[in-house]
Amino acid sequence: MGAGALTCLMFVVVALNAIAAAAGLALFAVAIWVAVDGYKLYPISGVSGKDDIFAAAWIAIFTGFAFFLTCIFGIFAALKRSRALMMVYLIIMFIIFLFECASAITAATNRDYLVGNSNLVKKQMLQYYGQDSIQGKQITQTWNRVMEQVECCGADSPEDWILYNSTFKQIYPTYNWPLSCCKRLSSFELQDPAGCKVGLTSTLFTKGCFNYIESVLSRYTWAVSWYGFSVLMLVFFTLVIAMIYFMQLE
Amino acid sequence: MLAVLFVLGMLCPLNFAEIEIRLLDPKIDGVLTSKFPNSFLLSLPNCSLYGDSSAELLYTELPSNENKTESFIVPSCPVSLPGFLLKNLKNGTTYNMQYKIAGVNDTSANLTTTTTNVIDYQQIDSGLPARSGAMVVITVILSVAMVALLIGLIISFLFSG
Repeated sequence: MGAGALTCLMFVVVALNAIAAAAGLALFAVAIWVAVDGYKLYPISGVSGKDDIFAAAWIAIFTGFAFFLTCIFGIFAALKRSRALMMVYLIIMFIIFLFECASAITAATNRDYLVGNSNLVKKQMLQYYGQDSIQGKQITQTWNRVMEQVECCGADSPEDWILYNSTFKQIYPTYNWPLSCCKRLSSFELQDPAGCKVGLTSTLFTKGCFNYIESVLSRYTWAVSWYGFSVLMLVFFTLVIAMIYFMQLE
Repeated sequence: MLAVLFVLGMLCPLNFAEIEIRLLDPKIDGVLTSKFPNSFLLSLPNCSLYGDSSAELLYTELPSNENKTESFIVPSCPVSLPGFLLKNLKNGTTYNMQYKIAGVNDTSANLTTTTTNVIDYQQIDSGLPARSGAMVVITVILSVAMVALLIGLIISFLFSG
């Protein structure tokens, strides 16, 4: 390959590495957003032991930052036209690529377990809402907050509380559903306690909370797995060009 | 003939008027449901006709024929709660219900319904429902990319220089 073509290839490698470094840094930031869990829905995945979406986010934090550092090293190695440095760069990038693949696949698969349909969330709610254990308290707090903020009740509808038995029903047999399902005034008092207890639809939230929970967990998953996937495709393309450049170096 | 019928009709005392009894309908009465595992939500006797009178709900549990009575005061118009909640029933049992206004001997027809059954929450199948398309695409494409990179690395290390 002529010297001019080699220089051109070198610039392509440097440019792609610069873009990949920026993409890696953005992946680092997005994964931190997921790990911080601004919507505070971690107990719903943590209590059932299926919190791999958050584990994948932690992996993505490390691989995103590692991509950033290694791509800067790659720019340096390409400018120096050194075979040894390019070989080191290729091997390190490949290892980080494997870890990031694991993160993307884990997040996508785990989302299917958690929110593929409303069964797991509903069973967890019926089992742990109102229970006195640590998990029970976490689930109760999470569900109360979701029901009050999103204005919903139950997983699919308030009828979940009537169709199935639950820990809540055993502790409070006179209540059909939790008081967080009732509409409140701006002073936080219940609008109509007697009406809500009986099921008047004007005093009770009638939509289910599953749609909201599913949309939040999906948003976390798309951040880690789809954005991770797109960074990986960019890195794959960069590595293929880097390998061609490596083969042309003497 | 018509005049005779009219006169007879006017002489017919209100004593034989029937009180309406039915389960509340989610579409008409704005309630979530009227059949619970341990209670029923029934329509109240008309508030304009029977407001402030004391009434009784006689209900019979069907297999054992146990008779019970609930006494209450019919609320006057306008009503705050559109129904009467009959509590402390058993799940999956059929009940016969009838209203009776004290003193005037007005009764309603018999209403026969069954309370709902509860399903144990442990029976809910929370296994993997199905794999989404996104998961399959990501897994397949990334696996192919990993293998392609590995082969490319091997080729570039072996066949260079």
